[in-house]
Amino acid sequence: MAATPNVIIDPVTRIEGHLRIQAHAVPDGMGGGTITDPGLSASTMVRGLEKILQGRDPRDAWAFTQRICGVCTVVHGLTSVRAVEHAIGIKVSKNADYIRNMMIGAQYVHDHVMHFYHLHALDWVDVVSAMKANPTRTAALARINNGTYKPNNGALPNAAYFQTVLNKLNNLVSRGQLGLFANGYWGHSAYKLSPEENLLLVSHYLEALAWAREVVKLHSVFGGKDPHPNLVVGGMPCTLSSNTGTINDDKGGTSLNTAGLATIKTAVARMKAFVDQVYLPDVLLVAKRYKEWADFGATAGNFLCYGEFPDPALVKREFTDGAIDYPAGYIIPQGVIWADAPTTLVPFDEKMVTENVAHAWYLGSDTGEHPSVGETELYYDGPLPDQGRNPDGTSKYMLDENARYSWIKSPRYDSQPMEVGPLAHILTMHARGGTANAQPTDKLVRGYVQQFWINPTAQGGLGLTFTQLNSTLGRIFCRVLETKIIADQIAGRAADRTLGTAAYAGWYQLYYNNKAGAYWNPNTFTRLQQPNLWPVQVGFGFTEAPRGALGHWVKLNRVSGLIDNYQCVVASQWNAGPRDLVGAPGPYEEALRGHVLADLKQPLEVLRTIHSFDPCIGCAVHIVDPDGKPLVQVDVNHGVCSTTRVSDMRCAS
Amino acid sequence: MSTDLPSRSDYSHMPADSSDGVTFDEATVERLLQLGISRRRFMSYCAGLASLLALPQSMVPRLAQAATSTTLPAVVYMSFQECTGCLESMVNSFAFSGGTTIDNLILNMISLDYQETLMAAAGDQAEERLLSVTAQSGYVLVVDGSIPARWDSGYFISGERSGVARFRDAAKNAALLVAVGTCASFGGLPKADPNPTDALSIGELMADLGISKPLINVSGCPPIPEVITGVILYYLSQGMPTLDSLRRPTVFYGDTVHEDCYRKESFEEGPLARAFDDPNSRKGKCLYMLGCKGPVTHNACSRVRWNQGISFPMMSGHGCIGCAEPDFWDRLNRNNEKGFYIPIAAGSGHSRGLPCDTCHDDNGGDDD
Amino acid sequence: MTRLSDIPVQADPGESRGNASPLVTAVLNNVADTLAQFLESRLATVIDLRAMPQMDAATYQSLKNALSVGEVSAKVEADVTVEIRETQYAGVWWVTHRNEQGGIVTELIEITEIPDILKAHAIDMRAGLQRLRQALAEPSPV
Repeated sequence: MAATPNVIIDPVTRIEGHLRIQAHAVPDGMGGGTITDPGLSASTMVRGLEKILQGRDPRDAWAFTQRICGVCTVVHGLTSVRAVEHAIGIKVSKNADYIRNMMIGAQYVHDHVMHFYHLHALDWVDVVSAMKANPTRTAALARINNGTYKPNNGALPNAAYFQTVLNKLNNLVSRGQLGLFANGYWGHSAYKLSPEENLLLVSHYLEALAWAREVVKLHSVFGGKDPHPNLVVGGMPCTLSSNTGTINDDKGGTSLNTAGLATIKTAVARMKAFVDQVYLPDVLLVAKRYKEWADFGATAGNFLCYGEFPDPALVKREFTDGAIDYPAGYIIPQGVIWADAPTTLVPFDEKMVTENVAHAWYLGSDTGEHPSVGETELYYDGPLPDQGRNPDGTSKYMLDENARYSWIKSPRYDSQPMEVGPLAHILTMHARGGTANAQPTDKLVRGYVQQFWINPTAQGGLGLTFTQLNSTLGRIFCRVLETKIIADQIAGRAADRTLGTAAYAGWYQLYYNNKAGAYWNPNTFTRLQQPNLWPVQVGFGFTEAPRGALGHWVKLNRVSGLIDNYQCVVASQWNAGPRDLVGAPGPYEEALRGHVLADLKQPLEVLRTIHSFDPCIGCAVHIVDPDGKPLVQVDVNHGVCSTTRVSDMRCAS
Repeated sequence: MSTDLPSRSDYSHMPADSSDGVTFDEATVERLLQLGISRRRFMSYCAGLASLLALPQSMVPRLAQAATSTTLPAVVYMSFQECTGCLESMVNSFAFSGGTTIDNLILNMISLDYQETLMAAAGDQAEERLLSVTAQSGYVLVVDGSIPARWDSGYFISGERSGVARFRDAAKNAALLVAVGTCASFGGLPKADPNPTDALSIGELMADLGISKPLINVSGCPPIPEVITGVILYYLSQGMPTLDSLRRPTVFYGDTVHEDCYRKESFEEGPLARAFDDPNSRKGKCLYMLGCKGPVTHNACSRVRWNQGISFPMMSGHGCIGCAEPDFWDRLNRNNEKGFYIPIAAGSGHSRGLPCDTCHDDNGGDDD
Repeated sequence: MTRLSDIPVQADPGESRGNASPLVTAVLNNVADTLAQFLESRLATVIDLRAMPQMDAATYQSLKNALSVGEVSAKVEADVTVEIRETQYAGVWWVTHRNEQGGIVTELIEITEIPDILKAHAIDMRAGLQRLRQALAEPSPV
């Protein structure tokens, strides 16, 4: 083992799932120190979902995989649905593609806003400092920063509004019940916002709770509830109501009636408004105060995207699969970016994906081969829990970077660890924007990066370099940028003369115009009983989830029609995975190198960088093909890869 | 409607109740003023909540008191083998029906003293927090997720402690345990066949550990937001609710979702939807043939509905998958087949309103 | 949509109860009893319509018709809306609580002089008085 870890965060809170971080900092003699080596990222919970999926009805798989994560619920469900549709050769209607775009898009907007305010903001916002704020000055700041934003009570925020927020905080303190705000690193020297800026952000923390409740209504109209809305293989289960659902016509029908469509429209408008008026300006405000964080948290600089959001305008016929049949118009392109050429998009080749369990608690394939070769079984040989502490207060439970230390496997692409997620999305869009295939959204990305990130402060930018996007701050910036792009895709946007982009009606409008069309392919369930019509041996489905590249593979039994094998390769697995066979650290681990901590007992700086990835650990851990049999070869027509074999592209699961 | 209430033909007990009206006491009004919450807005909120909880309206002042007390009841929320869906759902319920001034249960109604996904503290500071809040007594312990049976399996470790030890220690001083979600209530997805990690429900683990404390199961994958917070507020203002044999509050789980479903009419009279997106499905006809598990699933989805009453699964065209029932992932249906699209076997759940086995191989029609 | 509470409000004072369902009669009897009780003891009563066992749309409408509308109607607007309407029987109030979207959260029949939600509270009045005095103390009161 390298130097004994003296920076330990367990549990890492304000994430999805269960994560432990260890690192060693060279002490500075004043209680702080510098992390000079990569850290250690360990997931400490496992459920074994893929094993549970064997022998199930493939139509049910989406419901199981949804429960991989209640935060990423839509994308896991849809990835599964796409995998089964691919396996049995079923195409879906235009409406299904429009609705899927909207549901995934709404998840981006919802997740990213909630991540910033509820999971990440308290790393940058000092709640105790907010209590010293002057409400009148905060109201003035709100007018400058958030302009026309009217909080959920419908009025422009004035001093009285901020006084109410202050009262709430004071109430917590006066009764000595700090609740969720207890034991934060308040007063830490790394907090830099003024009391008024802190109070403004705290008020938006509260507003975002109410806002989030409104935007998920899009999911509940289409899917009946949220989280875990209902989906179906072959299209969407929701369908246009035979009646309007208005007050004098309320018998029967479905949620897609006049009221339901209005609810969606309102949710879409609220998404766009909040992103434009609150989320984007707030991120820029925080970024201005924390510019030095563009120098911390870089990963190795390799990025991967599967691609997402087919352009509905390209979907010309009914019953195609927009996600696979029209990759050219993806909002987020498919491709790879290597560290030595950050503006060049390289085609993605699934043959290059491998998984590695050298440092994960599984038996088998620790030679970095395809996981389809060899055996993979749960195998915990880590330290025992519940042993208490050593007499000197140090922990008896310590994970060793040279042993197995996580329930997450290490996926690799061309043997390299890859970062996935918003930073990868923005970089791939930026790169494609420089090619002949540039999409309008790529131009917007290039324009926004220039305007907000690169332009000098005198012109209202941050005055940072393109290379600095690979950083803790860059990740936060790219997340808000893609949220804006996607919110505008759903809601529509005006033409931008400077950037040369035309006006766009938005997915909601495109769907609305076509709403009387089909929602489900009636051949779907019969096709499950016709294996002779199945085009492939192994179905492959992907989405580009808010946290990055997500793929599911399903192999169906040609006699029973049930699932023989199921694998998932998940975004947070790429980012949060442990070291591989040759000891190369995963992105979380690499990103911690170089961090300077003011106080080793309060590792706020480490938390900032880990949170900038938006960890989703429930997603990252699942398993496995326990029988370990090699998968049958199959042709997959997927995006820029014309033909690849699943046995080759099989990656981590 | 609660099963506690009189049946259709029994009007001897009217749900009317007398009192001095729903007047709030001075302390409550004072608190509302401090919090900047309109008293009338809050009265309306409480009236709706009481109605939802099937409480007499005379209980509104007590609900209001519980919800505005200066010392807020402590809630410790711990997560084990879960997906965070239950918490996401609970976050959606911070107001009873939208609303802004009562925007946050977490600030105004309970003191959420430990919740890993939302709390500011991390690592050692989070662990200290857990130890200090669970050293007090009388808190409500909310748990989501199942827990692996063996402490030394390594399948769940957090803060260097196993799931079993973390749960045991946190349960010690709790006044009430609330298992939120089907994983905590009944084992849920981790326990689905073949249960690779030996996952246990909270009730099972309590039995193993010899913990006897009041437990309420709030099942559902996830549970309805208002049901989660409603149960907690009910307990705080009224004490233990009436529970069914699976320890679920009958006020929410007393009826099947079928009983309050507007598509029920065609279950009895036909026609049935035969395919997604067919004309009958657009008209809102019964989804029985598409595998709806509504007749055997106890929950309030069709009554309370989801996300402020916007919709519920059947309204959005998909059958109920049965997510509030034990082992719903492995439920056997017609021909002993598992699956969300396999119709339930005729005759199952007959006493709950399902027709006899001569029904529903045709176009509907309840001839029993 | 098909919740009883979402049924349109369309009182028709002219319609006789005619063949009212037993449930409507039961509710009306209950209203009469509690009204009598109020006159005797000043004890207010609330009947929660959502707690009615399986009241269907027709029954609901006929109950509404039977009670009809009286002289007073008022509306509380505080993010949510509460509609308060006296029925044709003085002291019997039909109170509808709506959420922000206009959907009905609950409906009550209150038997009392004035529903509590309409009354101002002394504490709120004191706070209002203080604000008013403050405003008057400003150099240029509005």
